[in-house]
Amino acid sequence: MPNRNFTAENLQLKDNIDICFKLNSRDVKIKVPCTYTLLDILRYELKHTGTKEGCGMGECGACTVIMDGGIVNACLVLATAVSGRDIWTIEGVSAKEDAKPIIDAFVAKTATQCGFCTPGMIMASYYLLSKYKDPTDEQILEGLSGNLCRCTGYAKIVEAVKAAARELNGAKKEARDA
Amino acid sequence: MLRNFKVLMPASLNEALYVINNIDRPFRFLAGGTDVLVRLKDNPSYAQALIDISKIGELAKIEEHKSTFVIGSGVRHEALLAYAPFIENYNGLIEAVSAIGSPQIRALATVGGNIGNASPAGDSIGPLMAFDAEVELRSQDTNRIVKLEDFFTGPGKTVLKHNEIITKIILPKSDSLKSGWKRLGQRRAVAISKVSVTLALGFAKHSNGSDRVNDVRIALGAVAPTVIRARKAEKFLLENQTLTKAVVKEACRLVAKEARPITDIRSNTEYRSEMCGVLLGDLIEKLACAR
Ligand SMILES: Cc1cc2nc3c(=O)[nH]c(=O)nc-3n(C[C@H](O)[C@H](O)[C@H](O)COP(=O)(O)OP(=O)(O)OC[C@H]3O[C@@H](n4cnc5c(N)ncnc54)[C@H](O)[C@@H]3O)c2cc1C
Ligand code: FES
Ligand code: FES
Repeated sequence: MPNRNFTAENLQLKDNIDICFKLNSRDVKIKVPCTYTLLDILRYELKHTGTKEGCGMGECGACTVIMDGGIVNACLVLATAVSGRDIWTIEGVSAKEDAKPIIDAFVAKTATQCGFCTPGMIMASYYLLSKYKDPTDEQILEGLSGNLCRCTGYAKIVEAVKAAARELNGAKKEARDA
Repeated sequence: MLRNFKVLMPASLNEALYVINNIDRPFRFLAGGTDVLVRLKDNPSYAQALIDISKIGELAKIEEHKSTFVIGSGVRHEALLAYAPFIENYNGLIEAVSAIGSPQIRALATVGGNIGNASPAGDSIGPLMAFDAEVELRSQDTNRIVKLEDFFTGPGKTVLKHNEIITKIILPKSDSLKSGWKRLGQRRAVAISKVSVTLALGFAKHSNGSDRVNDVRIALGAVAPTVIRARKAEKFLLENQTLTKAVVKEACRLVAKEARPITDIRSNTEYRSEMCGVLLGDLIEKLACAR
């Protein structure tokens, strides 16, 4: 096999890497230890602390972010895998017009108590409502199955997602009717 | 926080093969990372180096051939679930893969990683084994095809050599099989299976017009050191052809005996064996009625 095809750079055992990615539509260029996860990069390097660290092992969903259009656990994405991605966190999503009804519904339905799971829940709900306009209970439970909440008992969260769906559909209908 | 390992980022399959042929320390592949990073958190000596193959496009394709589907090892569970021919004809596979982890996990985790991790509870493995899938293993100068059933040698152990990578999973076409999958876990999502059963059945008409079974595949997960096929129960059902109550009952008894479960934190031996039979009975009923 022709060795000349190997760019020496990416075949070195590395401790640190330079990565470029998009974060909430802004370009980020940063050098980080290879052992950092996306969650470490967000919280410790970029001080975007809206994304929470619960278990650090993919089980709680507190670290949910959107990567290339789908939700993932930021604690399970290693720095090398972040390079070139399009990432959205709660900081970016909460500023979006179509996320406002979701956040408002979480407040109105008291779907948040201690609030630790809330950013992850909002991210998962936002993604869910981008996939299903009018989700069934089953779709909501499945869509939020990767997010744990120790406080609310989930019923209020499901109610909030339904209320948000109604609001979003109503808003769209109003825009069409106007 | 994770520490004490180094990372390599080959840009192509060829580069990856070159790297694993030459690397001088114990490594793991990083495909989705959903097993590897969790292991590294618990046990920092799990790997001294990670080889990030998550962006190698050649490994992430599903292709349809004349008599097979070829699934790249880097295909993510989410992509497999969206592939129309699987939704149509591989119900057991779809049911199993949609139960893996959560939407967040399925967007990262790969089929090759589920196989490479070699857990007896790996949920995609049972259905793939029931459909007689094979894996392609490549090194820089070798290329071999191994039946998935022969790939695993124990929990976390496989026949994969240190300089080989799983490139593809080869899935025979099987339009005539009806299949299903069931598991028991602590809860519905984000739970490791305590027992899982895959059943695939083919049916034909008897000369007297009634239905008979002409193909049977049963795979059991989490009840032996590796995922296994329940050959005795398969043979029994095939010989009896007609799914009478007595035949089904005996098949369920046989399958419970074929299981060789352990007692661990998630469940005990007796319960696991017994539940193999119960889940098989449910699946037979479901597939026989759904026709
Ligand atoms: C919260 C959570 C829930 C989970 N739930 C489930 C579940 O319900 N069911 C289930 O089955 N699993 C579950 N898992 C385990 C895991 O998600 C799956 O096993 C997944 O398919 C692993 O894929 P990956 O791409 O992330 O593998 P990685 O972590 O990247 O790799 C896993 C292993 O496979 C090897 N490997 C990866 N790719 C290759 C290759 N191409 N060739 C050779 N070896 C390779 C690696 O070296 C490593 O040893 C869960 C994990 C988490 C964190
Ligand atoms: S912190 Fe990532 S899932 Fe819990
Ligand atoms: S509000 Fe406290 S964990 Fe959900």
